[in-house]
Amino acid sequence: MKPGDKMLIVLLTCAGALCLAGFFFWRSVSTPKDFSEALSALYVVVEQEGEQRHRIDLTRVEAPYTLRLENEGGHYNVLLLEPGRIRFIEADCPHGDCIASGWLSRPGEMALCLPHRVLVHIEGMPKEASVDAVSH
Amino acid sequence: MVNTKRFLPLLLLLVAFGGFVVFVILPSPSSFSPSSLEFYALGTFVRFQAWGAEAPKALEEARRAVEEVERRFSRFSALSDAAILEQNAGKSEYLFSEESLFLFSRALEYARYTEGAFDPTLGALTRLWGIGTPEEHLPSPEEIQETLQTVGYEDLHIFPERGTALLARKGQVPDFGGIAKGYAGDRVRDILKNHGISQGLINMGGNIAVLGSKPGGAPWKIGIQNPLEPRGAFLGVLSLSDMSVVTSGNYERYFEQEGVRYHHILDPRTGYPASQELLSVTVVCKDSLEGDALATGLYVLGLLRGIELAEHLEGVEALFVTSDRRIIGTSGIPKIFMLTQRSFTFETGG
Repeated sequence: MKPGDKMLIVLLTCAGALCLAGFFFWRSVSTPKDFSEALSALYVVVEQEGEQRHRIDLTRVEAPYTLRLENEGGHYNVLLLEPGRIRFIEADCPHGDCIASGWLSRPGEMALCLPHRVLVHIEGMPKEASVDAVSH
Repeated sequence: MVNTKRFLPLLLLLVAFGGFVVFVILPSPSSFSPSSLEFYALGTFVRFQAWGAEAPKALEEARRAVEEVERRFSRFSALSDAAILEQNAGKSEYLFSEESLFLFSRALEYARYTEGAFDPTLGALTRLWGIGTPEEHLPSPEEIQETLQTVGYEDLHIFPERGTALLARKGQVPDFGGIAKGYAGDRVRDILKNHGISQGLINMGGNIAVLGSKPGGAPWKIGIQNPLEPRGAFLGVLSLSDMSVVTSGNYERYFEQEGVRYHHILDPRTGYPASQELLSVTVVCKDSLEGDALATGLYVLGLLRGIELAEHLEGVEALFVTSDRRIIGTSGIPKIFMLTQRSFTFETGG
């Protein structure tokens, strides 16, 4: 074989190996939630009756403000957002469990108003260890 | 410079290899991202994730199964098997489906095993306290004593030869709330398996069941709720495949009166919420039905008796979280558990 051929073989093999490596790398990281869009953001998702109503970056909240959610029956929940945290502050559910849950500020934390089907949950997983679910 | 004749076979080889990678090694998209389904049922929020081509179909079937469990065993439906047992208590046997009889038998088994700490005849007491409903209140000692008379798992009579069951005494009320979620979780798991699904995550309002391992081959990582923090914050992580994890805790449903917390895990032997030396008990075993019944029963039994019983059970491991921030596990726990919250300590007991 000519030297040029040998070099070509090497080059092509490397290219192939790179493609393969790239493929496996892509596969191992392709679960979308593993990569936060920006590591410094803190997104809270507010769902009502299974539908997403809000998705807010808590790190961009400058001054405290409230969000009011009402359902078809006229029942309400009020959320209070402050820089980096969120909580249920007012609701006309029988129990107020949602309010009792307190402040949510870390990835993975959640609070739920079951009677009104309002779910508030901070996206992402705690940095110390990544879990797929929490048994409670 | 380049000899194209020599070059061509190599190029063809590379193309063939590339083609092989793209069309054979590269699995279908359904292998990467799961199908998922979320809805409200059994008094809680339920979330399923399953991988595989049949996942969407399997999940819909799973949803129907959960709704069926709710219809059959809910305390709140007049047509449920629970209501039928109640209506016929102290009167006559009634015909039940094999599935219902299966559930009744298992409930009775767990009641016997936990010495009555888990008791499916707790219904009248649960109703009296009403914890988690607008009617929740602290009943008088007289009311509690009177209602306690209707509690007694040995009064649940099952006649498999006739296909019937009966609550022996008038006024007795069944309560399958302690195992309905667990039972539903097992049904969902079985449906997914029957559809050839080998990777999945079932979350029935905090009762977790995992099928197989995660895509990629690693075991699933299941956090254990930190009883002292908001939901989602965990004190440690279990690494599991093909297992269920059920936790019973005093922080889920309760009311407070004059500084005392009355939580929803009633002790069938006293009529009052079980002692709070334990904040929670987590049971790891194959079936959620077993996990559900045992998590409740072991919580009521308390740390000493609870860990003793758990150690004795084949295929069951358990973690007990005490009010002074100790986590005590059965002997199989250290292999699968990693403490992440340093304000707690971990030890094995029993």
